Amino acid sequence: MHIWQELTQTLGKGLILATLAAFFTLQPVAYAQDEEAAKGDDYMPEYSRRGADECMRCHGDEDSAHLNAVFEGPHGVMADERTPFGGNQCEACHGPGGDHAGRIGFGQERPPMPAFGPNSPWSEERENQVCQGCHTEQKHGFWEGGTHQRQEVGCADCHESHVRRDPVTVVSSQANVCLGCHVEQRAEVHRAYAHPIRHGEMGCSSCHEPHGAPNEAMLASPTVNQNCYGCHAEKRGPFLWEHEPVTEDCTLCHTAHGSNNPAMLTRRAPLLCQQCHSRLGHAGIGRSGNDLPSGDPSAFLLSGSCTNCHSQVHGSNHPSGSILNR
Amino acid sequence: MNISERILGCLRGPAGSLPRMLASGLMAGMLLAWTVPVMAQDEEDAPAAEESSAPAEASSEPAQPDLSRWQCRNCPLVDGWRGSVLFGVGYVSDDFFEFGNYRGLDDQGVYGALGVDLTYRGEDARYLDIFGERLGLDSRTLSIEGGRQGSYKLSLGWDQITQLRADDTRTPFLGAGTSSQTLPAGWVLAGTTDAMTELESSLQGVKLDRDREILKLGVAFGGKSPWRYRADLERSTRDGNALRGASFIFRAAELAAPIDYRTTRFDAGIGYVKDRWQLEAAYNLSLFENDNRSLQWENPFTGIFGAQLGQLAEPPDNQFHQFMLTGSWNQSRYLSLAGQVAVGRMEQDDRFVQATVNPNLVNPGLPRASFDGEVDTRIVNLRATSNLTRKLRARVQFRYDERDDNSSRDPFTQVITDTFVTGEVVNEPYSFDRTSVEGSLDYRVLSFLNLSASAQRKEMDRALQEVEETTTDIFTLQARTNLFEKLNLRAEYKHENRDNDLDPALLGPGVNPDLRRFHFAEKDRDAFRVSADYALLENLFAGVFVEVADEDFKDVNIGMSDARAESYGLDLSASFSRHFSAHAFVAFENLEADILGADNIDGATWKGSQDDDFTTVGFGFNFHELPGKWVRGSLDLSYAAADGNLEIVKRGIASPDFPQLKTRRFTLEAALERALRENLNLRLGYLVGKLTEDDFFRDNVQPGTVPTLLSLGEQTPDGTVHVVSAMLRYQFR
Repeated sequence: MHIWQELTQTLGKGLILATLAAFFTLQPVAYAQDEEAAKGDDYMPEYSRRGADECMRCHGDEDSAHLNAVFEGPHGVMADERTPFGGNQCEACHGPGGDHAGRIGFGQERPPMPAFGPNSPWSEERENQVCQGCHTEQKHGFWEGGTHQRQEVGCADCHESHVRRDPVTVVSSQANVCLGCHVEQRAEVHRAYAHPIRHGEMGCSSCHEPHGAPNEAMLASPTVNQNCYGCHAEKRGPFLWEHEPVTEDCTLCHTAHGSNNPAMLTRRAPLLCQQCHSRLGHAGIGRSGNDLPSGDPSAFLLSGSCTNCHSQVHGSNHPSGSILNR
Repeated sequence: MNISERILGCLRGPAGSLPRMLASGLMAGMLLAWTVPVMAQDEEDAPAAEESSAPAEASSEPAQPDLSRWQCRNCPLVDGWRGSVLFGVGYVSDDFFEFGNYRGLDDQGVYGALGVDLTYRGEDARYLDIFGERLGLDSRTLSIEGGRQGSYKLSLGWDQITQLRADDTRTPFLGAGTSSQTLPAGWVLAGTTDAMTELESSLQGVKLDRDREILKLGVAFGGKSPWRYRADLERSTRDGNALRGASFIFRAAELAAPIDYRTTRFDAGIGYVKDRWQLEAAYNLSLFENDNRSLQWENPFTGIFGAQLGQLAEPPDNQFHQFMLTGSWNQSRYLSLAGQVAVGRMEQDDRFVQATVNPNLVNPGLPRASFDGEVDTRIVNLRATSNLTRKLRARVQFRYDERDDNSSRDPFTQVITDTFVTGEVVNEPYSFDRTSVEGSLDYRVLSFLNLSASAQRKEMDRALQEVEETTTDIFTLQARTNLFEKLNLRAEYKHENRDNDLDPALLGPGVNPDLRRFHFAEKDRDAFRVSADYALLENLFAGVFVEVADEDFKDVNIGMSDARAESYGLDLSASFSRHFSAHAFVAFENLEADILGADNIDGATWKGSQDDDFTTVGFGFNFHELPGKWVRGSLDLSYAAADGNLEIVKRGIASPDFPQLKTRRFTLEAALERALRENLNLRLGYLVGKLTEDDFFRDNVQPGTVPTLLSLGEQTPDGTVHVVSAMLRYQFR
């Protein structure tokens, strides 16, 4: 067994034991804490007397000028009754602000707004429910049970509402938001061969539906291949001569976030092809440094290697193309 | 087998396997856990359940305010235009084709720079939004959206993406980049490139590049009614060329093959949205059209049996239709359902090209004039989630993906590379269906400790291949804690096991009987990941992650035997004030894989390894809305290095080394903006990019280097480019 496999299995077993130990030993404390946590979400003071006008008394100064950008964005449209400023104004999102805006005694700390503010008592889940109360589009309906929800990501972790244009909705700035957490993918998109994410030409949502689509990897289309065919429709076929892995899953040969190999392949040919092809003749022969220009330069290794001849790897519609070279 | 049988089959699994028993136990436990608390929730929890059943409603909602007193007199409401227009000039210091890839900054000289970011808002919720970037370059985007917020919207988009691969490539073919490529007059045929006496004098430059232009049109209606309507039309045009190999027996030429593709997509949906449930019926169309049916080229080598002309089939026109039903239902905190069901059909019936274009051969007849390709797809993705208690959440996911290939199946006489006629081969329409059932439990042990466990079984059935069924079990355990206020820690372990029903007799004649194709092979995979975020100071955060994964393909003598991946990294981010932030990161990755082979089945055995090391470094800061004249600025630096090592050990003896594959890319981008007048800023920009690569697959492979390959002679890039720009930003406020 390889050392890394031993290591990962040992660490895995350790995690299982630690999990079981935590599960059984911490139960009593857990229930007491649960009650405390519930109180935060139940915090529901009265509304303020004059709404946003009351907020603006303190938050309308120069220090809070950035907050006023909410009036330039879609949340600040009074004529649209669905928006905060078509209804309960600031308190539509931040929760009733009666306590926060009310009178306080000398030396007394001003109570926080219930949501989306410093020390706000509502949980992230409760805050998310505020957003979901209005954002009822189909994609948001997938939130519950989606990976981001399970990992306790808040709407406000990705979205900005006090702006005219939310950066996560702009293709060129979206990746900066996503890759702040997805650090492995951040490294991958910097590889030599990658989709133009670092160039700002593609966003993560070009392929993914981050609000919890119920398919694999929260893709925008129901399956991996459908996702890829969206832009690469020429690979869809069906072809007279199919290359069977292509029909199954593009990611068998390609790494979508970036690779050190041309065409974002998982490996260099001929090794890539020899993972599946070993037969009489040239296909199974191990190519070596002898096949370089300094030795006996070989078309079986150099330039496109196997694809110098078998160039129709995604399928061929040529009657004589059964070995994908026509 | 129908879908319900698939689910049961997935849940059952063969007896005697501990992981499978655990998986079945976990899923059965979840089903039990699901039903029992819902049915027998104690009275204490019941009111809370009712309170939480409507997510957006508060548990003890205060009286609604008298909104007539909420005048918003102090609100700086916006009517009219907001945003900015950016215009100016830039200068590129050098010609550097590859640097211009996806950027459009490939030519030395002056370019026009234009950007727009404007929004118009009217009192009655009407709006117009215009956003465009890099409008003076070949890679650019522009979108216009307008309508009445809350009622309808119309949108128009235009994107252009330029892919630049190489400009140092050369070919003797006339008509390079078109569907008919011929050799120049006086070309001397030869068996190998070194004997092609006219090669050097015939070479002419051909750039490898292509351009994608996308035009989008969208309309959506909604409003107070629960009905939602949307329709989107997208037309994508791709023009240019791509490198493609074209061969006669064991002689090949690299061609600049034409790309003249058009894809039309149309998506329309009607939805119905209520507080707790929503449903949408949608139709998706994708129509692919290729202007070229085939690519013909003259054989630059001495043809056997008079093979002077070859023909490749180009990707055929095809279309895809799909009806999809998506919906979700948040019945209560105890039950949320989400899912999508789709039924689609892929069709392709392009007329076949001839079996050969060699006039010296008897052209075998075709069993049909066109393919009549037809693949039905059926997809079901369902998810049920339940917050069984405030602390315990369960989730069950079911996925079904079927590809039912009903295309024609006929014998085709094969003319090998337009050179000689062989026997008949019957095409094989590949069908498969895959099913996945996953159950997971998330348990909040303490306010600072969450545990998650999941078990998943995937089954895949295929037709016409040596493995008809693979069964994969995946178990995942995750712990998340913020034990100390400043520390967030996550650890995850995943174990995967795959079995198959291999029948080596189906590998086919001439195939090594020991071959185990990597995507079928039985394997174990273990992965462990741990990450931590720590608040070093109030505004300074650090994050680290380590991930190791090991894949062991069981009893593989030919094919991939094992693969490993390791990655680790460090992040720092600081927010010194609302106006100033900075970040830095470094990440290291290593990917390794071993592939086993044997020359000619019973010849020399060998082991091939690929080992890639990556280093990625980034640093940046930005400031904005600073008082004074310098109002905005940013700096972003990134460095990415990759080293690839390939090795072949044959008969236990290391073969001569392959040179290392190397990529080094350094990019620094800086911008500084100074206020000139109230509405006018000056933006100065600087970009430097340095790119070097070593790739022995291409380096030193000139058109005539390989005796049996007439290549395009593409070499790896190496260069540095500086770009400066000066722009004015006019602000609407």
